[in-house]
Amino acid sequence: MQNEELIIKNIQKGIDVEKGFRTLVTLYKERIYWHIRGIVKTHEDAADVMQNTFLKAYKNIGTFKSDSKFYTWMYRIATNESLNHLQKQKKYKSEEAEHEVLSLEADTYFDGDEAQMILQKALESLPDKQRIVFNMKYFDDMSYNDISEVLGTSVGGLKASFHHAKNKIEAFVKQQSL
Amino acid sequence: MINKNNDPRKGMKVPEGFFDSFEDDLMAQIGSQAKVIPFWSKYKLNAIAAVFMLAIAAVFILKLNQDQADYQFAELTLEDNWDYLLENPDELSIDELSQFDGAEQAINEIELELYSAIASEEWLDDIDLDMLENLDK
Repeated sequence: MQNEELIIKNIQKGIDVEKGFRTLVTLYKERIYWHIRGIVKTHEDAADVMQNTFLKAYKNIGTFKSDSKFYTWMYRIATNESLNHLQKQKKYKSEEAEHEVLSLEADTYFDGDEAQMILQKALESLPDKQRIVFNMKYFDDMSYNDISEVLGTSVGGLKASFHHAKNKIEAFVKQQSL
Repeated sequence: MINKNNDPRKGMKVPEGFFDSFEDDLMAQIGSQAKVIPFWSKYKLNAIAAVFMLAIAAVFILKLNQDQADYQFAELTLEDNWDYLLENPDELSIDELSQFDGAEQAINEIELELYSAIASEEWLDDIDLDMLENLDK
């Protein structure tokens, strides 16, 4: 996006910083929110992490290099913030993953049907990084190259992660359907 | 394969108006925080001023302590500490010794007495020449 590039360059030069950043937030807020929500699950946590993600982006936009895509840079910050958030949560929680699914069922901001609930449970059973790879590849239709830029992992490693995640989810869904 | 339409995130909701007010909330928070100025630039002048003040204070305190030390040392007279110096002759260097009140005068008197005795050559009369010859043997 040429317009986006120009906005970023202007921000980096100190021209119309707040107006330009507001435009970028408008462009990416929903996409980033759903990416974060897929990792941290509850709306309250996702809202906090999204706020931190954009604050961090604002503070560090001067370091963004135009040889990478802005949206992968934003995804990278969002992913790191989400994983840090989960790590902090795990320090205070000793309960197992099932507890989090139960909290999802009780989440007033979740009204998915049974199939979505089963799929969500299957996703919950995956390690954090496998779940992130699966969400980005399968539901967000991102290329392996872009995911590789976000996670800093090799394309080969991502393909393997996606393959394992897909098999685990299919096995989980089959088991639930019996 | 799994149905893509079953993306569980589609079953998740957000509170009404959350996205509408997000930019305003975020920009208000950014505005309330400090602008994007590197820490070092922002506090550079304050840091330099603080270091400068600390350096002046350190020099002042050192000088004060030095003066106090000299003053306390100068208060000690040779006469008052003679017994101590006799018992501990290696405790102070000549330079330190010379800082005692009256030390310089005492040293001058000793030197004068010594040189005048040598100059008068009267001391030669006291030497037993026979004893000196026997020393060689």
